[in-house]
Amino acid sequence: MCHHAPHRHPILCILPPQILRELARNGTAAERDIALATLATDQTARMTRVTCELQESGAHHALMPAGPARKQRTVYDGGAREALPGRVVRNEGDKATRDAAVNEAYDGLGATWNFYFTAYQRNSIDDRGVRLDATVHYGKRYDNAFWNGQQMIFGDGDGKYFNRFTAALDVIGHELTHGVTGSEARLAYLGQPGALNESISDIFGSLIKQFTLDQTADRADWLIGVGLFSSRVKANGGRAAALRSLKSPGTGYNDPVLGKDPQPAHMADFVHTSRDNGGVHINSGIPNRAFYLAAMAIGGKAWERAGRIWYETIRDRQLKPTAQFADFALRTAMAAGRLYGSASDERTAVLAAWRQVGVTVPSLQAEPHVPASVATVGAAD
Amino acid sequence: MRIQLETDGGFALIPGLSRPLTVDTKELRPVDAAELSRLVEDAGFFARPTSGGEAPAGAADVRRFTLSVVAGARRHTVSFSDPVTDPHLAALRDFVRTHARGG
Ligand SMILES: [Zn+2]
Repeated sequence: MCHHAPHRHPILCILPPQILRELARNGTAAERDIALATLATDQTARMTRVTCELQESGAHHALMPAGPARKQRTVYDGGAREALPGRVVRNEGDKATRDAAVNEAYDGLGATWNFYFTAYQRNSIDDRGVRLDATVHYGKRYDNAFWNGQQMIFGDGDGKYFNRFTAALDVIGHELTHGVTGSEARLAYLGQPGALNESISDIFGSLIKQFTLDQTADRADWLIGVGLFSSRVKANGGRAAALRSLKSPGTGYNDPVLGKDPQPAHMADFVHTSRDNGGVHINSGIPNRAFYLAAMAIGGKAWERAGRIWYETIRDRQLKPTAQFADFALRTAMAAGRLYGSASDERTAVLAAWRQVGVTVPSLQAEPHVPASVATVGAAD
Repeated sequence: MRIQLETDGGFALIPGLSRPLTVDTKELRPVDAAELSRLVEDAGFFARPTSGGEAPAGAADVRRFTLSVVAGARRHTVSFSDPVTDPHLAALRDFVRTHARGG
């Protein structure tokens, strides 16, 4: 259904028609609308980019020898142009430069690599040692950061509402985690699977910050993008504005010019929209809060158990690119059962978290019973 | 001539920054109006396909831009995504951002 990209890059492609048809049949109302519109229009004109379920077995991991487990970072200077990748300004092992954006990108790539390697024994974002590339000073007054499927790109911000996008470690972690999701679950960048894709990037972006600061769940701010907004942007209660909050979705900012953070915290407030690929950066608030609740209930350092459960879920080969919130929730409960036992506090916390955000976990009866005594870390593989 | 820029998606969907921006040559200084006409001309805007470039495979957090131009009886719309590599489309997008009122 789609062809192989070069091996060291995540194998991704445009949403194939059968996935669009599945979304048209089984998706939410907004996904149905978008899928039908896409199916009905010229594919080259209206194509929504999403990832493609390529391999049923994950065979490409087994075929490729693992690269050496060491960081290989390169930071490029885009020179205020929109051409990629730009000029190399810092390679692995080079001393810090006088350019804060370059150093923040270099350090953020390093922190992300360290996090995945130390916490989950993952060898870079593709688990095969892929090099990490980032371009800073991309475009003029460019207020965005994105992942182009192979590297990270950071703008300097408009200087009015946004500072440079390397200013927040969780934003760097967010972008690189798109690379992780792209080589594992390949969640379609549309509707609920797209919101899950976004949520995974926010969750691990926040965990990378917590890991780097060595914070327990109760000490973390659970905010995305602190430092990204200029000081003129307002938030409730006089605290510094952030882009999003995993703890309290919808409270990141509340500003007379920018408006209010549009994220819902509960399924009852799910936003049906055709913008933003069906609200992928909006409805991610719901699974974000589910993770926060699970992590707080489990306690300790959030990446160790709650993060491990979510990490094993994105590596679960049964998780489809078209997964809805409920499908994902079921897979997290199953991962928790495999890792910690089906009667464990961890699994109970995960189920309660999804319930609190209004996501009903389907057909738990179908879940195979795994006694705690045989549950082992890494059983997901 | 009137040109509108719509921006969708990106790392965050900020309601106040994602409203459409419009520029009308009637409201521009003559020198700016002439520049806009030249940019539209240089871009061959009305002859362009409606899709001016898709995001790369596997991309995330990219923004999608939609430019619509109405000039007399002629009207046309072109959409394109980050990374914007076409200098003509980038120039038109930047012109609207610089000259739009009340965005
Ligand atoms: Zn993202």
